[in-house]
Amino acid sequence: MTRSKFKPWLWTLLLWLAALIVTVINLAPSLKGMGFVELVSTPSPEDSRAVLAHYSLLPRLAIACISGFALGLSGMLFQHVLRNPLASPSTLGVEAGAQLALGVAMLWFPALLGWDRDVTTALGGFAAMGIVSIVAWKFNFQPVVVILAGMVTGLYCTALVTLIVLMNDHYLAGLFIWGGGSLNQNDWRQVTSLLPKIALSTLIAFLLVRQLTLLSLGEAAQGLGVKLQFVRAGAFAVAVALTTFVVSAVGIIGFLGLAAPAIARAIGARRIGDRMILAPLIGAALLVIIDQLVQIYGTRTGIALPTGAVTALVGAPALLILMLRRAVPLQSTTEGRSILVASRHQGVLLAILLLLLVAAFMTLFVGRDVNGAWASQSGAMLEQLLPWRLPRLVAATSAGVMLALAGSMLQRLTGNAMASPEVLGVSAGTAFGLLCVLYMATEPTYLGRLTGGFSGGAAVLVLLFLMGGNAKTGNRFLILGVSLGALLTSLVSIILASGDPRAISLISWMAGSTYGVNATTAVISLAFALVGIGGVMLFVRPLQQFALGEISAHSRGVDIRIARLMILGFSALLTAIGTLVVGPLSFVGLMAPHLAQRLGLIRGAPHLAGSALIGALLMAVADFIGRTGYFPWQLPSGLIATLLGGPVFAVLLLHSRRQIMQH
Amino acid sequence: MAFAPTLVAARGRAAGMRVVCLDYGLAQTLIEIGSPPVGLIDTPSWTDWAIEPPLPPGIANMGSAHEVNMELLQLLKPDIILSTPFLEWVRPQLELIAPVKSFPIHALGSSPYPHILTATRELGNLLGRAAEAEALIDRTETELRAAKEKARHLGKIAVMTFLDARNLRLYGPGGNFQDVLDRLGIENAWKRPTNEWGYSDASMADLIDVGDNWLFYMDPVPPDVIASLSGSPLWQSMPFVAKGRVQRMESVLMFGTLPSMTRFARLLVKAIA
Repeated sequence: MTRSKFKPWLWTLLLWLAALIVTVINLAPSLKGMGFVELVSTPSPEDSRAVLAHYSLLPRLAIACISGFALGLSGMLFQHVLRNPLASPSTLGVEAGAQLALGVAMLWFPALLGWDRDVTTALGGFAAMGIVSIVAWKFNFQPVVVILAGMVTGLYCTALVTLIVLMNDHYLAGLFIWGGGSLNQNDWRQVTSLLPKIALSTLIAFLLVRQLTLLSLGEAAQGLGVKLQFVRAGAFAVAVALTTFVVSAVGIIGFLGLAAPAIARAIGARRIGDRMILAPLIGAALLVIIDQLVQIYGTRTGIALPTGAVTALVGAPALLILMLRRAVPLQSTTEGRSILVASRHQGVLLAILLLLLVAAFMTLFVGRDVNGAWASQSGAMLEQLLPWRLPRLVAATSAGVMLALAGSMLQRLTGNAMASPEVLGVSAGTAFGLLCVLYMATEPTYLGRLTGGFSGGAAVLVLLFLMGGNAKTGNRFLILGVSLGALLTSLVSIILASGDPRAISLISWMAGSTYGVNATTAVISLAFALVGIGGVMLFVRPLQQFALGEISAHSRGVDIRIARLMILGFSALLTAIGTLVVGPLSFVGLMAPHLAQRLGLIRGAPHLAGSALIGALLMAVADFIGRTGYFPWQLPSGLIATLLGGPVFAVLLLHSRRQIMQH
Repeated sequence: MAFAPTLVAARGRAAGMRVVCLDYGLAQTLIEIGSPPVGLIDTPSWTDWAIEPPLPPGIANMGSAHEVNMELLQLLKPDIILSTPFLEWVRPQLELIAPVKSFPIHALGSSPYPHILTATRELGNLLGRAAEAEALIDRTETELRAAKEKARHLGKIAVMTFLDARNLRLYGPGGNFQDVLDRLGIENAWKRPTNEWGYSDASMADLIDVGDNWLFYMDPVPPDVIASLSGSPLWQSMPFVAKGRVQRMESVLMFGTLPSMTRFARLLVKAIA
């Protein structure tokens, strides 16, 4: 027993040894011959080596330690307070909120930025967290709702950031760098301002540890009442503060806040007291190792990679391997099943269909003329414009249908409210495949892109199978998806930070632009959407039984393995084709099934049909707004769908809460 | 498609061609040779980035380069669309509206200057303005020669942009600015390798390489940078700062053509005058 008790500490020590070795390898050439006193005292401006060491290398090392520590602790607190292994600064929308604030300030309020960059980003981070907290508060901090709200808030902010970057691509190179998380230091100012804030937060966090231990007793402790809620909120606020301090100082350090606590748990730290110490230490060591490696790479090649993005690039696969090798006892995300009032199906479905037709009609016949004035077109003029409008509309709505169906099926299959092609990483996998094709082939064809995208999505599917073989809950799926999403984001950050102008086309596709759609693509998408609608009806029965829980499905004679295999495969195919049209970030697949549920279309065929129609409606409206709303600029439909769906989603979420209260 | 340009060229000589241009650099040359486009991407930002030559009135805004407004393009009925290799992926769609001519200039892993000269001449032939194109080339040569005289005492220089207070972009071989430095006989003080676009990313500590040579930083400068520089011991300890050899400079289009080069040379000379 003693051996297993010390094992996590041994692993952490090894990690720190690795950090030390890498640091020595990187810094030895620059620091050779310098004494300790020389390093810490203010150098004379003539001694360029001493200046470099004192004002750049050492503060950078210090900031890596502090930031890694703070993010590890922050992630640990989030996960513990919310009792959710998926909670992290990224999944709760804090980082995205901060980034949005910075982007907005850069463009419209430069004075704010000139006054204090830290305050700007902190405002954004706390605002995002505030929104998530309001929703979370109403739902008694129900884990699933919190993460759902966090991810939707994060997505919303990211969507807005992407939008302003697309509108102002020349100006915002700095935002890319910041989004990638750069640890470059010019002096000790950031260290001296960050250190006391982190130290104080850490102190408060540890004072809350005792009460947190009570929290880990779970719902049984609810009886302790108000005081417990108070402690919870306090720890939550400390976690937010820790993240915001780091984020405002050095930008987004991807994935660390999620990975460090997960690694602490994976190497065997079970007691909360151990994890509270180990997770921050692991975070610090990880960030130091990665940052020193980034520096070594930079010296050798002249290419400065953004450390934060590389952290995600390294952290995501590492976490995956850990998860695959060991059966990690994850605290299950308790299913937030709310009581929903079933409505009269036909009426609701008909209403959505009607709205869809109106949106489609508007999209085809209404637009802007050469001078930008609103105009409805007909006759010869319409004949000229239809080849541009029709394929986009058809492809966008088809993609909406496909993603919504895939999301619907996956949510039923995994019994997890947060499952969707985007969250499970199938979209990210598709995007990876496409990225490879874009950068390997000089002139990629549609078939090439389709093949690349599908292979990527299928690869994720295979990984899902490998992991899903013995997984009882959907949590592993979700971790996989979140990891892949982080990996994709970091890869794109690196490409963006490299300044490659191709990157802008990349984000415009990622944002869900239907710019590249032509008649062929539209027909293919439509065909698959129809196949999707037809095919999904075959799965209505097994899906219904999955929704009641797997054991029940088994007992009713559904062969779980085959049914799951077919449903997953079908979902992956629909996702790949849909993603090629509207990019991996639209989250129609997450939102549409939820919207259908909140409208009372709860189960079976009406739910699937409702999801598909809502997916199509979201995309049709998004296509119209994207094309005419900011004429002559064209806004990506996928992004607009996110922006439209987000608030609707939030309103319905809060509304359904009232319904529950009435019961 | 191989014979299309000659066909178009024949038509161009016959009458004024309606050109839609999807690149700032090419548009600079079009305006200089006296046949401005009827449509150009992102016209509102021209005054922030390209600045020279001034944009004639009445040019339609085509939206972003990454997502050209196809409906507007269709309504404008262009005779030809001028583009860059970075928009090749939408060429099939563009060609439904009008013939597309693409000019590879930047990111070829070599100096853009010869490609700019080729593009300038091709544009002249295409639009029936060969003489004007030659005149532009001559004018540029003359201006650069004149600038060379005035920049003689400058010594080595480095040119950079602030992405933020901690992250910088320094220009070198492979970019338009290096071409100008070469023409002016000025040595670049930044010796590190550059990417195919002609710049390298650097931290402030890397500026130690610039030594006591001149450093020019180009607009736009993020709002909080200047304030943080005065309080930065690292910046203050840089030899070029100690000697007062730092100078802010107006924006020049980095991926531009000949007008960008003369603008850069002129601003350089003006900055040290």
